[in-house]
Amino acid sequence: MNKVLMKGNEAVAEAAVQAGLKFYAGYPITPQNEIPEYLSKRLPEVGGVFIQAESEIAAINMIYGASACGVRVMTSSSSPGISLKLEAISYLAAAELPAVIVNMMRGGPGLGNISGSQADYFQAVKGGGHGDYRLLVYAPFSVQELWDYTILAFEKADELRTPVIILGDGVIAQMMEPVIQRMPELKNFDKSSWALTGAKGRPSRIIRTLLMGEGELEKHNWKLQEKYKQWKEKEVKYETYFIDDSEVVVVAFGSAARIALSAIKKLRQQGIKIGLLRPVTLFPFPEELIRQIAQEIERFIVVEFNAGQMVEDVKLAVNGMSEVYFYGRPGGNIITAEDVYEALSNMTAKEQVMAKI
Amino acid sequence: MEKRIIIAGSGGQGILFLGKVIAHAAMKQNKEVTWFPSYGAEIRGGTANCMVVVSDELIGSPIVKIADYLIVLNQASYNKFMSRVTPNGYLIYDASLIKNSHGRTDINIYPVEASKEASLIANPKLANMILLGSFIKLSKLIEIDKAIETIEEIIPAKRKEMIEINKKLILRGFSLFEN
Repeated sequence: MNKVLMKGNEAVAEAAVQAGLKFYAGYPITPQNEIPEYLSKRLPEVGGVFIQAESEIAAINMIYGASACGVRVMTSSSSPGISLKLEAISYLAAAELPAVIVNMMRGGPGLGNISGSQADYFQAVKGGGHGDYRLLVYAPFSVQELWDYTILAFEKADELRTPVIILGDGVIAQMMEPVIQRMPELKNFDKSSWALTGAKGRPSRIIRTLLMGEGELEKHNWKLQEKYKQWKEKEVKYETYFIDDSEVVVVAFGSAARIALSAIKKLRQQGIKIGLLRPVTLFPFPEELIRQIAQEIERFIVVEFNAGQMVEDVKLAVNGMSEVYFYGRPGGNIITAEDVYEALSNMTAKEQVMAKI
Repeated sequence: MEKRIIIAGSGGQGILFLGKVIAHAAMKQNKEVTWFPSYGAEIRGGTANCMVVVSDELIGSPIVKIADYLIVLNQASYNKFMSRVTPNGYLIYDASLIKNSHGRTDINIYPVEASKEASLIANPKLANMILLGSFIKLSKLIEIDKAIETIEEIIPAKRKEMIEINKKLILRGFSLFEN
């Protein structure tokens, strides 16, 4: 298949169309504007609906409504816009409605700036909105993966009946890279048992998240928790690089993982035994793998473009079995491969010094 | 081998397009490539830039701090990015618009009368394509044929005239330097 050069945002938008997206609502914000721009032209061509809503809150509630009607839906935004959507994301999770939500993270807190950042890890992974819910969170690290995981996100949203987050950032959103427009065979998910399709010939249905009956909410919560438990068993995705002989393992996701990987390759050329574990799903987190690695190595180094968020999950999984170092740069600045190389170089050098003592 | 390019000038000089043609041509040669624009809060009259990285393997960062090649189209960009060329790197600039005053002696400097050459063929605003041709000759990073093919593919067929003009400009820039 031929490669095409695409911007990250465009890859998300076209992949969504290929995956059968039929309803998009959103509100503009940099650095994800090419997604609505592209879909405003493209979606009507395939019989879909594009709406630029009056606000993020309106957009995500339109998503709720359209998903309840059984069609494939998506919204996209960037950090402060996602904050506005959180109430309805909690509702979507509670109502078990499939939806794809793209967050091309920018620098925060507050209005921050438009540079790339990874400071919404907690927001995406730990809930963000209210209540005991989780989201399936994919963190692609290339334009190719934005394409592939957008398609997978639609499939998983329907299969698992859940909102799915694509957590990208300003760097992979804005850059162009060659993409193979792979198309897996799409599965057909029967939504006739729950979707609101007009009550002809059947009793009427209500999709609601207000559960006032005695014990009703607790029962529903246990059902959701059971679902999340199954994700931990079946949906974890990650990639490893050079970890077989490594004494130090870097853990990084998304664009930080890419930048770390090129630094790691350079360090390996100098004979340093260092590898990379890259979680692709941030929830469910590859905690079991980290636990196993922790028994064999001396040190993890977590690299994130925030002040330290995923590092907490790494520490939980490591559970004291090895050291966990952290190199983080808060959002809003452009972090180069040289910066990461220098940091990793120092942190591995320290180890060599300690070994001599 | 990873090669990093910064292309800079002001809005409207075809900075992003110049980068796109390099990226496309590199892709045609089965290279890994990234193209990254300066985006968002740009200042009117300020600099626009893009960064292209070409490599044989997965590229770590699309963001270029130190460049192997700097292509500049205006004085402000020249001043801003000059110090970011690696020793023995290349500076290619539009000598019709820029005065080389920095005096770095540790890099290869190639002045190109790009605006002047472009005006002889079509229009001084198309200096970017002259510089592209010169860049291809000097860097040997992409093949001239792939750049020409790219032009034929990414400019819409209905603007056939522009395709021909761009090709002419690239070839002219290419011919300005000896092998």
